[in-house]
Amino acid sequence: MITKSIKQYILAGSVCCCMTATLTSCNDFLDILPMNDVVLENFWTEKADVNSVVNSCYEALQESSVQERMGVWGELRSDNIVVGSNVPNNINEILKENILETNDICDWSKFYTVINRCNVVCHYAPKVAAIDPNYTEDELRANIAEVSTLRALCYFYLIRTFRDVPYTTEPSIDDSQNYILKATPFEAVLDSLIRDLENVKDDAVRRYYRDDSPSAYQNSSRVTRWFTYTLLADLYLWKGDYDNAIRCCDRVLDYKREQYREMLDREGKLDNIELYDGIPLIMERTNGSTNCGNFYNETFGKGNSFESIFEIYYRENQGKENSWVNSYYGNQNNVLGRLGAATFLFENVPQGTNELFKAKDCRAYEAMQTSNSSTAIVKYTRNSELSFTTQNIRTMNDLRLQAQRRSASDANWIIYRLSDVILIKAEAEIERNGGDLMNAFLLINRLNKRALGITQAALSSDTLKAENFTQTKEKMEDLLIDERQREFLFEGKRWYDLVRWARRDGNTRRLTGYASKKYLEGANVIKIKLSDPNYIYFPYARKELKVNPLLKQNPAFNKGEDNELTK
Amino acid sequence: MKRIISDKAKKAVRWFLPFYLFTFLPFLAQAQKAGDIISGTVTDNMGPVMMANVVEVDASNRIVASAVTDMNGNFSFKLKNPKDKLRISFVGYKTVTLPINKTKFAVKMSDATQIREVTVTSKKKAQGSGLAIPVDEISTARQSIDMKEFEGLAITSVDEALQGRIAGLDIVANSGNLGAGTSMRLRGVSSINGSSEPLIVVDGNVLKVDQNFDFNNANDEKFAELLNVNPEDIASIDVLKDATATAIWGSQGANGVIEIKTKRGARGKTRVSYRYTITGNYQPNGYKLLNGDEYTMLLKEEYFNPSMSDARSDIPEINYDPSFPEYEMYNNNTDWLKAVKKVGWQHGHTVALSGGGEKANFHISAGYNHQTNSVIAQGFDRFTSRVNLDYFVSDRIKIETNINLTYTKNKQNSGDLISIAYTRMPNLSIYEQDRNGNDLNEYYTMLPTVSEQLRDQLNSQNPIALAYEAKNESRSYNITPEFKLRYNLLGLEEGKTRLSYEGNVVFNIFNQYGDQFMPLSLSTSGYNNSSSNRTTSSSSKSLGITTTHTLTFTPAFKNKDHMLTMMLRGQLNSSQSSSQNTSSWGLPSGTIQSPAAEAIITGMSTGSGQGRSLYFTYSAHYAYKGRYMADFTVRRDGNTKFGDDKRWGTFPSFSVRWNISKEPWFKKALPFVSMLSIRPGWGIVGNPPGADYLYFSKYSYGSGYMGEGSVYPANIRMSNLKWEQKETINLGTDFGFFNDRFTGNVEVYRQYTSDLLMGNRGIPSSSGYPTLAYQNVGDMKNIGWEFNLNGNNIVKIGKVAFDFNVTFANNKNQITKMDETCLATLNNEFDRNNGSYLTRIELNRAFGSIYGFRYNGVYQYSEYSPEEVAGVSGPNAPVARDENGVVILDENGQTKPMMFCVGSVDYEFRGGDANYEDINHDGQINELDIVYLGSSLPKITGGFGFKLRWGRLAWNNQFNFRYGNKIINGNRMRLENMYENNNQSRAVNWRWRVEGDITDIPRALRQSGYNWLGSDRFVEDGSFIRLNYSQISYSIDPKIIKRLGLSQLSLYVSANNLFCLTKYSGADPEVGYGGYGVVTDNAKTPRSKSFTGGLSIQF
Repeated sequence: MITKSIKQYILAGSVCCCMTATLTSCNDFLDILPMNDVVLENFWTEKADVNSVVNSCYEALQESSVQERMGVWGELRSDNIVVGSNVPNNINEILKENILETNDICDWSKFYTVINRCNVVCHYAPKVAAIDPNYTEDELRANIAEVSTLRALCYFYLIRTFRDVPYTTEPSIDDSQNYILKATPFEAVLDSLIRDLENVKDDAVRRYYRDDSPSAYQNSSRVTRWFTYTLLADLYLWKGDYDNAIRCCDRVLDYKREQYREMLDREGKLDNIELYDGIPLIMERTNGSTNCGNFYNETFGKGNSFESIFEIYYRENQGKENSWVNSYYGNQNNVLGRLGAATFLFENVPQGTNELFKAKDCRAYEAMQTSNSSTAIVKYTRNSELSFTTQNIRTMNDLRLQAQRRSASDANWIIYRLSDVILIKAEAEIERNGGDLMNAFLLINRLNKRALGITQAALSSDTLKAENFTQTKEKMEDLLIDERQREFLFEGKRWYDLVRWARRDGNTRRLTGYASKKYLEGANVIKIKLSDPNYIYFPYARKELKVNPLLKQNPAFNKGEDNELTK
Repeated sequence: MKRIISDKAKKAVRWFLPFYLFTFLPFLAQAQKAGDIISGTVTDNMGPVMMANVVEVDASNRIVASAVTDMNGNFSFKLKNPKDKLRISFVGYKTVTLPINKTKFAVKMSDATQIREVTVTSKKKAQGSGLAIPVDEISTARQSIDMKEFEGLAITSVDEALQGRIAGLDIVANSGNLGAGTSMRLRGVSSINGSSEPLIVVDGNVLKVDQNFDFNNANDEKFAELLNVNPEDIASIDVLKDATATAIWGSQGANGVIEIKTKRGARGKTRVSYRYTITGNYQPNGYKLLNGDEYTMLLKEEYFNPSMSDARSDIPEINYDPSFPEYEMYNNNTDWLKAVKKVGWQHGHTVALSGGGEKANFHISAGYNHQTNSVIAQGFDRFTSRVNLDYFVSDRIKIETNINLTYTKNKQNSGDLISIAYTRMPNLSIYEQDRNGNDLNEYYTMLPTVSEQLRDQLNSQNPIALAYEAKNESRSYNITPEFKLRYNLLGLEEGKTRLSYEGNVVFNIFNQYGDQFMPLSLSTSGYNNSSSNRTTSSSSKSLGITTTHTLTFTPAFKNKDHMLTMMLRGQLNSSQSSSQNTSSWGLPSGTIQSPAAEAIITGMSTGSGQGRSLYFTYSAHYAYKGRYMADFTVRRDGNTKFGDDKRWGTFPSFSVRWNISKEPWFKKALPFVSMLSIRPGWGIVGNPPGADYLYFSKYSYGSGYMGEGSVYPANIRMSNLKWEQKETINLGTDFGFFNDRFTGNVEVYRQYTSDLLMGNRGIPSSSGYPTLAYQNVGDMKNIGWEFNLNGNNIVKIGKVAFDFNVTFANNKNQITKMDETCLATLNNEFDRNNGSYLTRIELNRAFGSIYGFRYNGVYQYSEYSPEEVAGVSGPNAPVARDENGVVILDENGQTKPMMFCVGSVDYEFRGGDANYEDINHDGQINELDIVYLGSSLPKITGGFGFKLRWGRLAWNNQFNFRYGNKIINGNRMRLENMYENNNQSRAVNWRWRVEGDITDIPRALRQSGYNWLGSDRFVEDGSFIRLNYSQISYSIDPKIIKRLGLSQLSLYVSANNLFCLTKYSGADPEVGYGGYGVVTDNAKTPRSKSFTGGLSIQF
C-alpha cells in the first residue's frame, strides 16, 4: 500500500515537472511574427529595402488626398476657379471663402505621411550603408537627397497653405516619442528647408536613364538634381533671396541646353523642340505643320515631356489614379467637372477682346472650353492629339479644334516644368536689387511667343512689346503676374502666387483685387475677409487642434463662438 | 424486446441448474494463479441469466478480462491476476463483486429495484469550470439557471432564455434578421472600445470564433456565437459576474463569463426524446407611410417651397401626365412595406438519445431547424449535432469525448428590404405595367434616364426584385471535437486525500462561405457599371487548438471541520485563420453566377491571422464548518499582444463568505430564515488590447511607384502599452426564507478600470500617423447594484402552485481620469447640419448623454405682428426675443429676424420652419443653444416572471423591462424630415402648408432649411415592459401514455414578444447601444412577434 502511494506521488510529481518544463518555453511560444508584414528587426538590411521605402514616399505622394489638396490649396481660392457641377459641400464652402476648421480639406495628415517616410529613410539608410557593401556611399547620398527634396516639397506646400506648421525631421517610430509639437514659424521652416537642400543638392542624381532609353520618361517622375535646384529656386523666391534663385535657375537652364545639344547630336534635326533665344522649348506648332497643340500634347497629354522637371506619375490600373483631374476637372463623360473656370478667363478670347488672352494664345484653348453657360476646365483632361489652327479666328468654330477627353484617370500631375524655371528667374530678375528688367521681359516673352504658336520661321517677331513693360518695375510685375496665370492655369499655383505677392507687399490689396474678380455677388464680404493677412492661409483642422494642445489656431479663424465650445 | 427473450431463455434453462452446481462444486477449494480458467454460472430467481457481463477488474476498477454468460448462464475466462475481483452485472440487477478465491462461481443475482431507499448526503455542487464547491459555500457573484425551467419553451437560442432572468445582464437583439445575434452587457460597459461582450464557455471550453473572420462587411450581422449551441442540449447556465467569480478565466473573462453546461448521459435505460416545434412569426406594425397620391403632393410642395418656383417642382414622374412614357409606372399607390412582409414559419426538430451502462454513458442529440422570416425571401437552416461520450476505463481513469457539429445556411436579402420599403417612392409600381395599368410579369426597375431631381432614388432597388433575383447566401460549418482524460492519482473516495489530473484537447474548426450575386436586371446604371451581373464569393476558415491540464488536490483533514481544495491549471491556445474574397462583374449572363466565369475581376483579397496565448491558474477554496469560507485565485496570463517585458499579467482575487444562517445561535433566533450569508470579494482582472503585433514596428507592402515595388512603415510601435486593469469590489448577500421558498441575492459593486485602453487614439498627424493603434489613456468607474428574488412554490393549495422570479439592476459608469486631448477626440463637433446630435464625454459624468436643441413646434407666420391677422401675420413668428419673451426692436422699430448660425450659415427662419428655443436670447440659433436632453442609459433594467401550475397544466410568463432611458428615434427623423425624395410617414400630412397653420410638423423643404436639427423632437422615452413569452404547457398523465410505450408526452403553446408597453413611437424600443455614444434607432428590422406550438415525446 505504501509503495503504491509513493508511485503515485512520483507520477504526480512528474506531471508537475512536465508542466514547469513547458513554462520555460512559454515566452518562445508567445513570440509570433505578423504574417503579412515585415518587422523592423528583419528590415533595413540591404539596398533593396531602402529603395522600397523610397518608392513608398512617391506612392504616398500619389494618394488622391494629397493630390486633391495640392489642387485645392494652390488654386481654389484664386480668381481661376468657380463652381462646376455637383460640387461637394466642403469644396463649395472654400469657393465661398467660408473656411471652417472642420473642413476636411484642412486635414494635412497625408503630407506628413510622406514627410515621415522621408524621415524614416534618412534615419535608417545610413545604417544599411554600414552593413550592405552593395550599397555605396554615393547611392546613400543620392537617396538622402531624393527624400530630402520630397520632404522639402511637402513642407513647402504646408507652409504656403498654413504658414506656421509643426516641423520635424525625426522619424516616428515608438510611442515613447513626443509627438506634440508646436508650430514652427514660416521663415524658420523655409530657412531650414533651404539649408537642407543646399547640403544635398549636388548629391541627387542627374538622371536615372539615358535620354534615349525607353525608360527616360521616368527621369522626370523621380527626384533629380534639377528638381532639387528648381525647388530651391522657388524656396529662395519665397524667401526673397533673388540672386540665389537666379543661380539655381541657371543651373537647370544650363542642363536643359546640354540635353538639347545631346539630342540634336543624336538625331540631327528636331521637329518639335526649338531654341527660343537660347532656351530650348517644345513648340506649339511643329515644323512643317500648320496646326497647334503640340506643346499641350507633349506636356499634358502624354506627360513626362522634355520640359518636365518633376511630375507625379499616374497610370490607371497601376496603383494610384489621378481622381482629382477626373472628377474635379472633367472626364470623358462630363465636360464640366465639379469645378469650372471663371468666366472672364475665356470670354471673347477668339474675338480678341479678352483682357488676359490674345486671340491666338493657344493656352486659352488648351485649358478651357465652353460648356452650356459654364466654362469647363479641360487642361489635363484631354489626352488625344490636340490639334487646332489659330489662323484667322473670329469664333471658337474657326479653331477647328479636335480633341478627346480622357476616359482613364491617368493624367500625370506636374509639380515643376521648364516654364517654372523661366518665370521664377524672371520674377527674381524683376524683384532683385538692380534687376535687369529687359532680361526678365525676354524670359517672359519666350513663353508668350511659344504660346502664340510662333515657329522657327517667325522667331524674331515679338508678341509683346518691350517698351510697354520695361519702363517700370510695376508694369513688369503685372506682366509677370498675368503671364504666370496664363501659363500655369489650373496647375495648382495661382493662389500661392497671390499669397507670395501679398507676403512681399506686406498687405493683401493686390491679392484681394485679383481673388475677388470671379465673384458675381457677395464680393464685398469676401474682400473684407481677405483684408486680414491671416485669412489668406487655411485654418488648422479641428481634429488636429484637439490632439495637439501646443498648436494655436490662426487668429483669423479663432472666432469666439467656436472657442467656447472647445472648452 | 430484449427483456422478453431473456425471460424466455431463463425459463428454458431453469431445469439444468442443479446439474451445473453439482458438477463444479468439488473444484472450489483450489488456490488460483494467473492463467487459470475461471468459470461459473449466473442465475436469478427464475433460472440462468443469459448475456450477463462477467469481468475481472483490478484495484482501480479497470477491466482486465471479460466474458458474457451463454444461454445456460455459464461463463469462463482466463484469470489475469488472482488479486483482482470478479464483477457480474446485468441490466436491472444489482451488480455483484466477488474476490477471486476459487475457479468456479455460482452467482445468484437479485433485482436492482429491491434495493432499499438510500438517502444521498452529498451536497449540490457548483458545476463550473473551476473547483467543485458546494453551492452554499460559493463566495463569488454568480447566478445560475437550470434549463429544466425552460423545458417546453420555444426558445431558439440561449440568449433568448437568459433575457430578463439574470440581474445585471442586459441583452439586446442586434436585429430581427434571421441569424442575427444579440449583444450582451454584463454590468455595463467597462472599456471604451474593444469588445464588451461576455465570454461564453461551453463545457469548460471558450466558445470563440476567431476575430479575423469578419471578412464580409456588407453583412451587418455579427456572427451569433450562441447560435451554435442547441438550447435542447443545455443542462444549466451560470453567469459569473464579479472579478472573483471570473478569476479563473483571467483576462478572457474581463467582461463576465457565461458558462454553459451541456447534458451528458446517465447510467440507465436508453432514453429517447423527440421534440417538435412550429412557430409562426410576423413583423410588428411600424409607422404608417404616405400612399402614392399623398407622396406626390408632398414632393411638389417640397420642391416648390425653397425657391417658390413652379419650375422646380415640374418633375414628370410626379405630374400624372398620361403623355409621359413611364406614366403607368408612376401613378400607383404601392404599399412597399406590405409587399416585403410576410408570415414566417419555423420548424424545429430535436432528437436526443441518452443512457449508459457500467462502463460508458452517452448523450447524442441532433437538431434541425428550418426558418423563414417575416421579411420575404429570408431563410435560415441550422443543423446541430452533439455527441457526448463518457467512458470509465476504471475508477481512476475516465475518458470523455465530445463532438459537436453545427451547420448553418443563411439565405439573406441583398439589402435591407424593410428600410428600402420605408424610403421608396410609393407611386412607383412593383411590376412593369402596360398602358392600361395592368401588371406585366417583369419587375420594374427605375430607368437611368429618370429626372435629375429623383436620381438618388436610383440607388434603392426594387425590393421585391432584390429579394427574388439577387442572391446573398452564407454557409458555415463549425466542428468542435474535444478529448478529455481524467486520472485520479490519489484517493478515490470522499474523505480521503485526493489528487486528480485532467487533461483535454479541443479543436475548434470553423469554416464559412459566402456567395452573392447581383443581376444586371437590378442595375439602374447600365451595362458598364460594376454593379451589373456582379458576383462575389468569399470564404474563411479558422482552426483553434486549446490544450488544458488541470491538477486538483483535496487534502483530507483529521478534523472534519476543515475543508480545503485547490487547483492548478495550465492552458495553451493557438489559433490560425485565413480568408479570401473574389468578386467580378459583367458576367455574360445572369444564369452563370460563379466568379470563375469570364468577367471583369474587381476585387481579390486574402487575409490571415494567428494568435497564441498561455494561462496558468491557481485556485484554492477553504471552508471551516461550512460557515466560514475563503477563496483565493491567482491567474497568470501570457499574451502575444504585448512585447517581452509586459507579456505576462498576474491577476489575483480573494473573497470570503460567512453563512450566518448556519450559526447555531442564528437558527434559534430566526428559524424562518433558511439561508443568509454575506460575501465580500475583491479581484483584479486585466484586459489586453484587441490587436496583435502592436509592439512591432511593421513594414507593409504598398502598391509601388512606376512599376517598382514599395514597402512602407505602417505604424508606431507600442512599447509602453500596459494591460488595462479592472479592479472590482463586490459585496453580495444570499438569502432564503421559509425553507428556501423565497431565495435570492443582492449584489453591490464598484469597478475601477485603470489604464483604460483606447484604440485608434488620435495623435497629432504631424507624426505621419493620425492615430496610435492603442494607448492607455485613463481611468473609469462603474458602480451598480443587482437584486434577484425567486419564489418557489409560494402558493401551494392542492394542485395549484405558484412560482415567480424578479431581477433588477442598475449600472452607472463614468470616466474619472483621462488626458484632455484624448477626451476631446471622443467628442464630436456641432457640424451645423440637420440630424446630428452631440454627445459629450466628460470627467465624472455618466456616458450616453444626449445634447441637442429644444424644439418648440412650428412658426405659424413669417411676418410678425403683436396681434394675429389671420392668414397674414401673427405673434408666433421667427423674430428675436429677450429673456422675458419680449420682441426685440432695432432703432427703427423693426423686429430682428431669427437666424441660424450668423456668420457661417446665415439662414433666416420663416413661417412653417421649426421653432428652436433661443436659450441665450441672442437672436440666433447656434451651438450655444444646445442643451442636455437626457441620457441613453437606463435607470433600471431587469425582468420578472411567474409560473402558475395546476396539476399537469402550467402557465409560464416572462417579462423584461427597461426604465428611464432616452432613444434618438432616427427612423422617425428620416420619416418626418421632408428633405429628401424618400417616402415619409403619414404624420407629415399635418405639415405646415400656408401662413397661419397651427401644427407641430414643419413645412416641406427639399435639401434646404434647418427643420430637422438634432432636437428633443426626436428624442423619446425608451422605457418599456415587454412580455417576452407567455406559455401554456400540459403534460399528459404517464399512466395513459404508458400504454403507448411512452414515458412522457407534453404539449405546449406559447406567444413570444406578444406585447410591449411603451411610449416609444418606433417599432421596437429595444435598441442596442455601443460603448459610449448615444443610442439611435436606425430602423433595423425589428424583432418579430411569434406564436409557437410544440410537442415533446420521450420513450
